[in-house]
Amino acid sequence: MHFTEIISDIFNIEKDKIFDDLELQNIESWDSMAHMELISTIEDTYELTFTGDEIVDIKKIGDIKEIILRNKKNL
Amino acid sequence: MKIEDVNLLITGAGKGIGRGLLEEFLNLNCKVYVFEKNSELISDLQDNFKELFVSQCDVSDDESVRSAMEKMYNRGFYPNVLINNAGIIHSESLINMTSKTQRLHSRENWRKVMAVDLDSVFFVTSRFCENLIMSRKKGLVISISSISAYGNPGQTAYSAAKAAVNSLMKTWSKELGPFGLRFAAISPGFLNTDSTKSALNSNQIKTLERKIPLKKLGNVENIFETAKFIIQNDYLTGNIIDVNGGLII
Repeated sequence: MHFTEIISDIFNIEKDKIFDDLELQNIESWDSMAHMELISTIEDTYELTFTGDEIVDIKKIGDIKEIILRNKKNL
Repeated sequence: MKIEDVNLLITGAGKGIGRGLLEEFLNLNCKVYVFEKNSELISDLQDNFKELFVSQCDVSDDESVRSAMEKMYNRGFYPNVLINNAGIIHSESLINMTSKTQRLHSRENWRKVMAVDLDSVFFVTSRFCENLIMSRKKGLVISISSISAYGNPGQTAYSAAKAAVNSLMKTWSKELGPFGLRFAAISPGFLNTDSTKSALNSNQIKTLERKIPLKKLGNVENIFETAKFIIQNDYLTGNIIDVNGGLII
């Protein structure tokens, strides 16, 4: 599944409303449970493991992309 | 998880089921850390097990749990298995029909049972899981529940607390399973322990044994074997495992 599809699916938002500077706190459906689902889905899809600090430091969509790229995975 | 990889934190291991579990896991050369409230029991543990880590902790008090956890981590002990064992048994019905004035279940007793049997599981487990998640390590929580969780007349608070503990194990297994954390409860029936002997007289125990399909009380070793099975079976989570000789099926 493509990155944008994952975000769209988890937060139930249109793909064209997903951009790098979109802050998670501005997504209506973002909460602790959605955040956990986001982390576990990204980890499974891209076969990577977030550090504890990364999990709590993610503020916007671009932060997630950065972590994926830092782990040398393709979006 | 392999038994040799277990770093166990167990609450209330000064006597009863907890003490039995402690001894069995030490026999398997597991590293064990104990949270115990009672000073005399702590001294007894330290006298009998020289290498054992013990911290005094009232698990019904979040600040006490926070402090004991901090001390444990400062000692370099990072558990990957938690057994929530500490608890009290309390028998009291909702309405006391033998009293003309004090008919209602004591509010104070209700709060005390909820604090020791339920709040403790919430306080200790939340801090245990936070550490595992932030360090991205897998782990396991086993809570000692009770056959009373099915609803035992005469044990309003105790039954409710244990049922709630079972629910927490199921809830957290769903919430934190994706992060490699497993949860289970062991729900003992009547065991051949001092607390059973002090709560029931010999005639009551004989009557009970007749009702149990396996015709005998259980023992702490049965609980230990179940805990060991849960630890070793990495595909098990969210289960409440009854160990009651068939008394309730």
